Formats: sequence, C-alpha cells, structure tokens
Amino acid sequence: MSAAATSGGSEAQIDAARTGDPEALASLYRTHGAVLYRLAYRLTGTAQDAEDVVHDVFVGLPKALGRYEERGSFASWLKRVTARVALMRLRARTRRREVGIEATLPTVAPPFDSATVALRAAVDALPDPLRAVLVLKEIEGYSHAEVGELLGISAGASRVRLNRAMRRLRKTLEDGR
Amino acid sequence: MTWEDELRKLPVPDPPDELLARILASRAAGARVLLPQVTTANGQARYLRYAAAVAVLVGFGWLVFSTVKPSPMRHAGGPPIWSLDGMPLFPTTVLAQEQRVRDVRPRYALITTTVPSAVRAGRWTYEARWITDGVFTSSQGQRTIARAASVHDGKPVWFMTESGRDTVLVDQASLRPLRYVRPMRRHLLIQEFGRDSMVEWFHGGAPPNARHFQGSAALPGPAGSPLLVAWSSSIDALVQALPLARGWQGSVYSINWLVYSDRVPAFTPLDLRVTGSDRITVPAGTFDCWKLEVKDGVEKALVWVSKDRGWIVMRRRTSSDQSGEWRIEARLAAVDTTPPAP
Repeated sequence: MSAAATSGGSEAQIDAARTGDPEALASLYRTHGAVLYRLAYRLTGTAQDAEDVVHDVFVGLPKALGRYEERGSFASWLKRVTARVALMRLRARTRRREVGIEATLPTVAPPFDSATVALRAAVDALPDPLRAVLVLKEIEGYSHAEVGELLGISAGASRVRLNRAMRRLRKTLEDGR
Repeated sequence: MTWEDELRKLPVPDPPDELLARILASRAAGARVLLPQVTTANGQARYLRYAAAVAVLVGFGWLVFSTVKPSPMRHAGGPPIWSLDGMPLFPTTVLAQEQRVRDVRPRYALITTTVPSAVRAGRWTYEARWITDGVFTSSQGQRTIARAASVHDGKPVWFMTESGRDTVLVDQASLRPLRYVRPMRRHLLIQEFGRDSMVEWFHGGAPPNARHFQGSAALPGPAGSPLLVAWSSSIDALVQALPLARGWQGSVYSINWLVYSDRVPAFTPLDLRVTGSDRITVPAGTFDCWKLEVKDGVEKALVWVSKDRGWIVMRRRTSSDQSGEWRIEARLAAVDTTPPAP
C-alpha cells in the first residue's frame, strides 16, 4: 500500500481524479476540503479568498495530479499545493492594492465579545508575509525549511519573520491590556 | 493556556455547503486552473544533491581555471539583487499599510430622472473570470441575478436576488429599496427603508459570541432619487431605468451596513458616467453597449450596458502596477426574460 493510500486518498480515487472523474474529485473534496479551507482561511484571512483558493485547487487538481509523485503523503502534498495557491492569491491581492465593493463584504462576522477577539485582531493586523510564516509554522506545524520553500525564502529568513511576528503579536496584546 | 496555544485554537469557519457544487460546475463548464508545482521532500532532496554536485564541479573548474590563468578582472558591487532580501514572493511594498481614501461627496448631480417602466423581470447569469496580463487565469464561478414583479405592503415592487443568497425589494415607481434581507451562515442582516430613514437589525452567533445590533439612520439625498443597496443586485435594475446617452452622468447613493459603519461609511456615492459606446461579444451574444464608468470614491469599474435592452452585458475591474495588469470580469452567459415565479 502506498503512502497515498494511507493518507486520505486511495490510489484508485487519485487515479480516477486524475482523469477528471467528478465522483472521485467530490470524494477527495469530502475528505480534504475542510482542512484545506481552514488552511486557506488562516493564510488569506477572508472566507471569500479561502473559498476561491479551495475552488481553484480542486478545479486544477486533475491536471496537477499528473505531477504528483505518490511518494509522500497525499494529504501533505495537497496542503502544500493549497498553501502555495493561497500565497499566490495573497500576492495578487497585494498587487491589486484595492478592495472592491464585493470584497469588502464581511462574510464572516468578527467574533464580538469573545476572549479571542484581541488575538484574532492582532493576527489579522500582521503584514501578510509575517502572518504567512506564523500560520505555516505555529499553526500548521511546518518546519522553517518547509516554510522557506513554500514562501521562496531561506529557513533563516523564516525564523526572523516568525520572531518579528511573535514580537508584534506580544506587543499588540500587551498594549491592548 | 498560553496565547500561543490560543493561537492554534482560533475559530475558523467551515467551508460553505455549496462550494463542492461550485467546483464541479466549474469543471463541467470547462474551467481549468494551472496549479503551482510542489516538489515532494524526496524530490527536493534529490534536486539539492544535484545542485550541490554541480556547485562542487563548477567550484573545482573555477579553481583550476584561476590557478592556470588568473584573471585581473574583479566584479564590483554587492551580491545579486535576488539574494538581498530573500523574498521574491512578496514585494517590499507589502509592508506598507495603505489607508484607503474615500470621497463621500457625489461627483455629479444625484440621479432624479429615470424610466422605471423600462425595468424588466428575468434571470441573468454571469460568468466571472480572473485575467492576468491579458491571459485567462482562473474561473470565478457563475452568479445569477433574478428579478420578479411582486407586491409588498400594497405597492408593486421588484423582488430581486443574487444566486439566492440575498433578497432586496425595490419600489417599482421610485426604484428605492424597501427591504433587504441577507442570511449568512450564522448571521442575519435585515434593513428596512422608509421615505427618509432606515432601520437595520443584525443578529447572529452563538453565546458567548452572540451579536445583536439595531441601528437607524437618515437616508441621504432627496426623497425622489433612487438608492442602491450595497452588495446586492439593485444596481442592475437601476441601470435598466437610466436614460443613458453619450455624455450622460449622474450619482447615486449606495447604502452599506450600519453595523460596520465604523469601517465603511454607512452611505457611499457611486458616480456613473457614460464614457463611450462599444460592440462586445460575450457568451450570451453580441451587443451594442454603452460603456459606463462606475466610480466608488477612488475605485473604478467599467460596465457595458446593452443599448436596446438595458442589460448589464459585462462588468470589469482592472488594476495594475509596474509588474503587470490584473482584471476581474463578469460576462453575461445566459438570459431568461421569462418572469421568474414570485
């Protein structure tokens, strides 16, 4: 049994999805969609972007599976692809440097009156490059080398950014007390 | 529990129920997305080994060459630019915090002359797509705007909805909204409009995060001028009723959410101007259109409006910087002018 078969995607499912079979694609979505959506949401910070990221990942999955080597875990490969797409979207969003009328729609209301409000606000206020490292390292559990690979930076730069992100978070949280 | 632990437990929403259907619909419609290549850890290690071997060979060759024939030339300057920051993915401008500038005054005279009888019932389906540097990048799915005649409190109204996600009732005579309802996954927004004021209710969340808001505000502009409800399909109805012609221009207020008025002004004027005419072809056919510029403060979009039908045939928002141009377009894919069931 291959690693893929033990990680949420049977070989048969993956082979079928590779041909564009909607049933297989739906089955993979049901297994991995929620996890990937959460990752995309944490990286992009908005429900609309997270939705678009997961949409694009699954629409492009059959073709991308042609390059999947089936040596590592399928779930982990899929998460890395999703992280890449989310980071590309962050980059495009930064390039656009504008918020359209629809994009300003608060699709997820902030958790008012919650003890986590301050932390959520502090994380949201981080610049995208720092938040990306924080999410990938501290929440998703990637190593600095893996974070570096995903972001196109060195492992050392990843450490520096995490340190900056943590310092900013601490300062924001302490200032808010 | 430390805040680092809390960080890992920050609540994250679930994906919307309709996302899978949207994915399958996009696939069925022929949409394709080219995903970035991600090498596996094994693959990466192999490439690193190859790179190390190549580096050793190059280094050895350079050593031999410089020993045999030392060069008097030395390159001046620092390391290559790409190694300075190590972040090719994010331009340094990302770190800048840009304050959005908004001009809350209408640029043109408020629209008071419309042809409400020109508004028609029907269903308009749009295909949205993302285009980078003139090349199709990804599909953004379909949206359908439906409009049907109905009655509310004894008044003839237009009942409008966008992909079934919200409902707005608009007075057929004045084209002013009467009621707007937007259900969300865990929240509900309701706005009700009178002649010169509005009331808003916002409910949602489960304890201890439950949020309840009620607010009211006076409506801007004269009582006879139309109004739009932000993030709804109300602009589509208004556009059908506008007497568009070369040189036409006018402004209309768009009503945002009072609950978020600390972030987005409760009312923002949209400035509309005909900038020319164009014949365009979209999946629904070829149309002679007025090209209408819609400006919301500093942001701008272009809307192509069919000259003889008043339908919005295409919307486009473009942005660019020194590294390229990006645009999102929604093109009319299908029209059904059979009045939908109320």
